[in-house]
Amino acid sequence: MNVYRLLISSLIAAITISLAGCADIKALERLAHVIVVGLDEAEDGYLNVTFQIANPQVGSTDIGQSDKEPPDDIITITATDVISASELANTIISRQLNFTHLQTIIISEQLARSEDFHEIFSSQVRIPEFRREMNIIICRERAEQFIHSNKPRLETRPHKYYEFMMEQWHKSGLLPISDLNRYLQRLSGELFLAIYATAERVDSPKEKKEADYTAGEVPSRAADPVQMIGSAVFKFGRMIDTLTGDETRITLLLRSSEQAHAHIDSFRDPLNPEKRIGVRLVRKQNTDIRIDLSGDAPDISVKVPLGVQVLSIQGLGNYITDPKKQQLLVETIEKSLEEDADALIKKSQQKFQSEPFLWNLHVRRKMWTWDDYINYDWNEKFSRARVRVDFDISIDSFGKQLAPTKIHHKR
Amino acid sequence: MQISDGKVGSRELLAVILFLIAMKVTDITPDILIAQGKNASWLLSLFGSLVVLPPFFVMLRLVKKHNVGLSDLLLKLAGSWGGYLILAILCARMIGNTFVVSRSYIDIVNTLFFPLTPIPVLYTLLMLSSLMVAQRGFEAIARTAWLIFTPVMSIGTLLLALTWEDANFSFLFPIAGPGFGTLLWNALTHSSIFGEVLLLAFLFPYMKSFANFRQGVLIGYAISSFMMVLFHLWYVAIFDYPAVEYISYPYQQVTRTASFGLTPAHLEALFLCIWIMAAVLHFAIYLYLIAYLFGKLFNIHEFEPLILPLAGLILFLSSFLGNVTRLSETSNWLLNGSSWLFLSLPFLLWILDMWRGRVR
Repeated sequence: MNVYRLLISSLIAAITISLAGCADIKALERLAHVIVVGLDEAEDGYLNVTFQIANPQVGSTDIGQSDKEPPDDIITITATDVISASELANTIISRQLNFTHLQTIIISEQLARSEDFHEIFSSQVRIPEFRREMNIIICRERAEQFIHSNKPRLETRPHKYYEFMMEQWHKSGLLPISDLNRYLQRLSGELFLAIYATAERVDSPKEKKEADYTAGEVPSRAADPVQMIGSAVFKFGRMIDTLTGDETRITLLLRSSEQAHAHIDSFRDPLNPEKRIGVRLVRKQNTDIRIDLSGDAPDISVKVPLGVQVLSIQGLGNYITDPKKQQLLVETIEKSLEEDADALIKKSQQKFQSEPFLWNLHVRRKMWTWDDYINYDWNEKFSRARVRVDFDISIDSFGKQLAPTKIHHKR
Repeated sequence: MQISDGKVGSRELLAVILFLIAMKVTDITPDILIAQGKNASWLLSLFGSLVVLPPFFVMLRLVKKHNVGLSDLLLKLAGSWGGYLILAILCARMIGNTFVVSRSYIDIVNTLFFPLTPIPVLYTLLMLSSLMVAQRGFEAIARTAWLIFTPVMSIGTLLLALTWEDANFSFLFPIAGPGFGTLLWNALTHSSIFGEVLLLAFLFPYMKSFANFRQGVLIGYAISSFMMVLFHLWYVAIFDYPAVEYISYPYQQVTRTASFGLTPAHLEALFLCIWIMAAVLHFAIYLYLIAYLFGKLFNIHEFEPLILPLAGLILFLSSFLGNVTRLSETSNWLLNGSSWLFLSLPFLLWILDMWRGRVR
């Protein structure tokens, strides 16, 4: 019996020792969790790598011992790649840098537009710590500066900021979902859209409606300096242009089924052209995309079914009881959206000569083999394609008010 | 007290086949298939599994007719010279295959999870664990397989459920990938991936009855093929074609994308844990088969003690290797060569059987 007891206890001891993990031992309290990595161009092919390191004690019940510590620490290292930068960072930071909580990578526009961006960026993908679901954000200024100025007032812990922003993006459609996986999928000529952000303020060139802004142009007086709106356009792994929030949203609506489930927009009131009507547009079904490849140039017809919830009628026109006026409103909204979509399609045909709408996936469905698809040369064909976009609008509701409230003068 | 008669039922055999064949979809096999089948690698694995069916049924028929295991069948039909020659080829193929494949498993663990742990340490641990399972005999292997069959299947389902949001099935088009001709030819040359199911005919003497054997093999093979096709489909649907070609170990990379809703959960440790168990079983089956073949070849009746030195041999062979990429040529050669062997062996035996029947 004693022999068995000895055997079993030594076995348990052996298991406990092996749990320590041999050479790859990591002690939790010795780790510094990197939550954001920023990449900037430095001279001679070097990179300026910025690490934002979270302090897990801040915002937790353990704060008593460390109430003088800041919620994060930001350091910038010049090195050839991210991993050697993290090695060098350990000459400054007492804890071992750990990337398991890394979710966001911020790249300066300057680096994204540089000619060898793809080589620089994709060479980092080999590192196991770079996960394919990491979000890519392109910022107008230097990434280092962006990370330093991003001090959200409502979030004490920096990683929460990106987590909550991400949830917003999925709904509104003002920003594309841009993760590493999607970047790597869209390198063969199709356009990849990345989130565009800035902490700087840029003067908006003209009076604009709802979301016709790129990052930095949104007129606001806020203490939080960072704005994220619109997208950076990548072709062949290099940034070539930006899209405004509105253009990004239309792009997402023209894709067969992605985000942009519901959003707020406003249109000119057909009864009172100086006033506007605020509506919520709700995506009802997947966008119907039909592509006819039989001719020399493809024929594309796209149908976007949207439901409208009227939220505000500045002009106080009576749409509720008059079906004719409702029809007028529907036509106005359809026309306005179609004009926007046509302008965007023209821009991608002439300026980008490629499309961000993922229509290439529909072309792939019509092909038999991979070689057929490559030989068809979709991007070249697309720039000559005839595209017809129909927004199929139906008014779902008029809010909780039957008729506009009017001021009653003395009777 | 006699608890067990040492024989195995159909459900245990079913689980063994899962760990012998379906397990391959989580190692470097998809890399090989995607390189040939492009975005239609799922079709390639479907064709591969279908191609093996005719020899598979011929083998079943022969086993039923003579009611003996494959080793006795070989000696009976091919004569002692021919029988031993085929046994020797199969044994050598299994040893080569085991050390090539096990090196890739070690590479996965080393690259993605334990980059600082020395490779010999990882290798020794894997071989030691497999050895401990294999040495207890085929019954122990089969029962262990059945024991972790349910966890493995549920974890597989969980993985598919958690990555559902990231999968886009438009990426599977163009449907024929490199074209049907290429797909069919590669299904033939890569059929040994599925052909290993024929090796289970060696273990027929451990089965309760032929009906049990047939049922276990058929259902097990169907489930394994289904898993292979489904996971290949999934890899392409998540990563898209040109990108999936540059990925090593797609299974592990898929586990890294698994998430609950929008919050990345980093669940790969969970998947790693179950996967390691399955890997141990995978190599336990290989080690047992090698020892069995080796024992038959040299007429060693008590072959189970051979497992230890054979595991040592594989460990020793592995120390000569640089890294996995240097193995790819050897592994391709093994894969293609043994494909023809597996495809033709049952037909060869069939012809011999008919010829002997006529002579008699």
